[in-house]
Amino acid sequence: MNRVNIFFAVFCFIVLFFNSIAGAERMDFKTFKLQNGAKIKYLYRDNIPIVYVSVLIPASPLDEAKPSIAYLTARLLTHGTKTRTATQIEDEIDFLAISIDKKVTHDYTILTLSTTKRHLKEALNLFFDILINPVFPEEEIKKEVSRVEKSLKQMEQDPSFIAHKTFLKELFGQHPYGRAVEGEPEGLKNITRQDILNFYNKYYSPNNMIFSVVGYIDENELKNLIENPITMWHGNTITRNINPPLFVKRNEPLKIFIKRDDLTQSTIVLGFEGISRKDTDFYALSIMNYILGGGGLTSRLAKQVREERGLAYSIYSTFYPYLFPGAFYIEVKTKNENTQNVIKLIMEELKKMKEKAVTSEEMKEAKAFLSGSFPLRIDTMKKISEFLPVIDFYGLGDDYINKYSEYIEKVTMEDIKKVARRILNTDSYIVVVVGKD
Amino acid sequence: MKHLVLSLIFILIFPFMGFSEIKEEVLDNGLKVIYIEDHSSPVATFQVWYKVGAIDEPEGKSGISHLLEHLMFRGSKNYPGNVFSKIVQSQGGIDNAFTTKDYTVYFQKLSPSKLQTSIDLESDRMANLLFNLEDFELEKKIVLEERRQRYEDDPESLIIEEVLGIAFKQHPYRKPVIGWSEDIQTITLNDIKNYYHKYYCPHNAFIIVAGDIKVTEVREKIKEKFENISSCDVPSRKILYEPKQYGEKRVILKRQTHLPMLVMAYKVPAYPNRDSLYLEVLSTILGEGKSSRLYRKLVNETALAVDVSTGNSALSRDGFLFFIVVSVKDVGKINEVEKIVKEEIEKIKNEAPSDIEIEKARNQVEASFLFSQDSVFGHALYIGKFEILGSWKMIDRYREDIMKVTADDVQKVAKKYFNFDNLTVGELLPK
Repeated sequence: MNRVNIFFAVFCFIVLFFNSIAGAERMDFKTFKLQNGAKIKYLYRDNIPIVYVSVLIPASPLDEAKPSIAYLTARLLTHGTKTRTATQIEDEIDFLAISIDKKVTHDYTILTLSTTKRHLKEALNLFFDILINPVFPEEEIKKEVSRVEKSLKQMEQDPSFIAHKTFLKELFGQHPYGRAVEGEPEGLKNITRQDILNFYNKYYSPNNMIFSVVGYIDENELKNLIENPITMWHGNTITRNINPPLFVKRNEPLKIFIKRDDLTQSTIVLGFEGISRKDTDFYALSIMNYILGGGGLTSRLAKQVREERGLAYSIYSTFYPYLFPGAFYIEVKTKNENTQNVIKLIMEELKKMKEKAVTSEEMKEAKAFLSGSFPLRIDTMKKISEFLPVIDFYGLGDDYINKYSEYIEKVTMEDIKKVARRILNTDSYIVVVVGKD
Repeated sequence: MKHLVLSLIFILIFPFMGFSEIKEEVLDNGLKVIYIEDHSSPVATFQVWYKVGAIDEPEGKSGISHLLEHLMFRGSKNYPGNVFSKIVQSQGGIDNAFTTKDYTVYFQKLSPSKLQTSIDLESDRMANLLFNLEDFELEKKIVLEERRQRYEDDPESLIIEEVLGIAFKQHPYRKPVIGWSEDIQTITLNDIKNYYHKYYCPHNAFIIVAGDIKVTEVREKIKEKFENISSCDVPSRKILYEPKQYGEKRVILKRQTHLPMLVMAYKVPAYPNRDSLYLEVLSTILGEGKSSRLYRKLVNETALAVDVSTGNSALSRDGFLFFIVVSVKDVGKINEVEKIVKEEIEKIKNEAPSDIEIEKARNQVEASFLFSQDSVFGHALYIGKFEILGSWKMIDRYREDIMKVTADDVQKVAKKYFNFDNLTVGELLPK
């Protein structure tokens, strides 16, 4: 009943291809700081008897001694604790009909528990057990490593995955931003239980964790069921020793072609160095990207390539503002014979964006969209639960949700031009094509 | 006894678990409007559902429903040109649409204060779509690219398409929603026009407006724009049937892939046939979650598979398929995997599932119903799927009935449908 998603993907056809949505709602959440350093963001909502609890752990591939460790550590939390076997945990999750999602990004790890109010106590008991007492059994590590290896090898058949992987590797070199969070199949064999234990012991400490609790749970329950177990958990003080990527200076574009005879379409990824989340150009780049290729079917790239020429179903641009600068890129898939034509069209649009100012209409629409659609980004309790810790992690301020529109409004036409010139690297971009010829 | 007590409590409390107020009315021209008031977030969704999908497509015109969906974004009388999404986005909204085998849905997500935009655009394209030849030819090209991206270059989708193609010999569910390339290429603008006039009319559609709305306000706006759209006859629909299957069917697809995939599909009935509810519970027991029988056996115990999932499609306009999909680790083991799946099915046929398994399934039904209401948009979709079957009000009975499913019911449907003569197998193998 909840597994229909994979079938949805196959049986359902969506006309647009929306990559990123980005305005304001008054949301009166509370922030509690605990003695051990942990923080809890709390929002009471009683319209449905469900509760979400998220925890953001500042641990990611940036902290890894070997690739895949951050990912495996998070995945394996539910594979055995001091008092529960992997099988018992799986039984309990399914029987209580709860879920524990684990997401590892390039900057942090976030876990989210979803539970009905009826099963809240049992669910929290399990959630804190997997967070505080995991034992990472050898046997379970072996199984998980084998599963990840197989999945990675399968992903490596996917032209989009190959194109992204190659592009990121060239852009970031050996830096962790240059590889998938899952790691690489070749490296998995070298991982030991000790690696995972070391990672867990070093980084899974309550001191730096940011929790959020959203839903049908009052402040008393919050204190007893959530605050207490966190307070009783003693951890180390952690300082992350993380390094920014070093970008290679190039004098000309780097063009890479990967041949795959079985494909009818070429997958093209074209991009360059982007910005960090703290960069003052973040809002200007958000608007510029919307106009260029982030705005669904209305973007310049979609107009040129899809709407006016029918050369692609999906084309978009996006950027990843991490703790350190991430990538900015464009991805498109087109019939093999149209590859060069599409690259030419993309380059024309990039140059145009650098040379000419955007129109005031484009600017107005982009701002209206970004501000106006902000509430849609947090239109469920689950989304709020996962959003609040992230705001804190990147230091955006507790008033971020209310101030976002203001930040967007301040951007000027001149800011757009400036950021386009700074980011859109038409001289030494990297382009990867995966296709037949 | 504890389980029994729990079940009783469930049956008593479950029907009252809708947490937003739902109202409906039928306008003079036959168009039904469903209002879902939910003030938890300052957002709204406006959805127009047309009861038309691949199931309705004439021979040689597969993909016409989806192609029309694309053309619906290319302008109408009062909003000519490629402006729909631009208008919605400039109001801070998001719009999109999707076509399935049974229906087509157009939607916006936006601020409740901007609902007039949805009403203006959707009413105009329901009544006055423009059919520009140049746009039509462009959308064909775009759909062919979409087909390449989603099917021709994606072996996992292609194997599903092939399984559908042989599982049904006559029923339109054998056709892919996106259509076959040859059909897409030969559909004419005239075909699309006729299709639009036949199916896109008030009697064959309904509206769902949900979220932080005031029914009295939005109702007047909807009536003003939609009620004067000319009424139409309910389109006549062919009686569909699928001739009896003789023997197991099999398709083997060789493509560049690392993980072989095994797809097993049994033909099953749709709701309101009660068997569909028992099959929903059976799906939970067999393949949903890591404690499910197949996951445990194939991923944990034998480690022959990377993933297993099952899916029943109870909410279909006609009987469809119960899927078991396994990502197999090693190509040499695909037959062994199939044998194990069949053994697990035999086990259920011979011995009814345990009380714990039934209770687990009920807990999951309860939870998925509650979680589906976390999203205004998701909740509206859930309601719409029932309306497609006849009435959204069926949802209460559905929930009550599914909570009453017994172990014997589950065993009964396993025996009835999971048979050699009702099975289609697809194997995706590396080239």
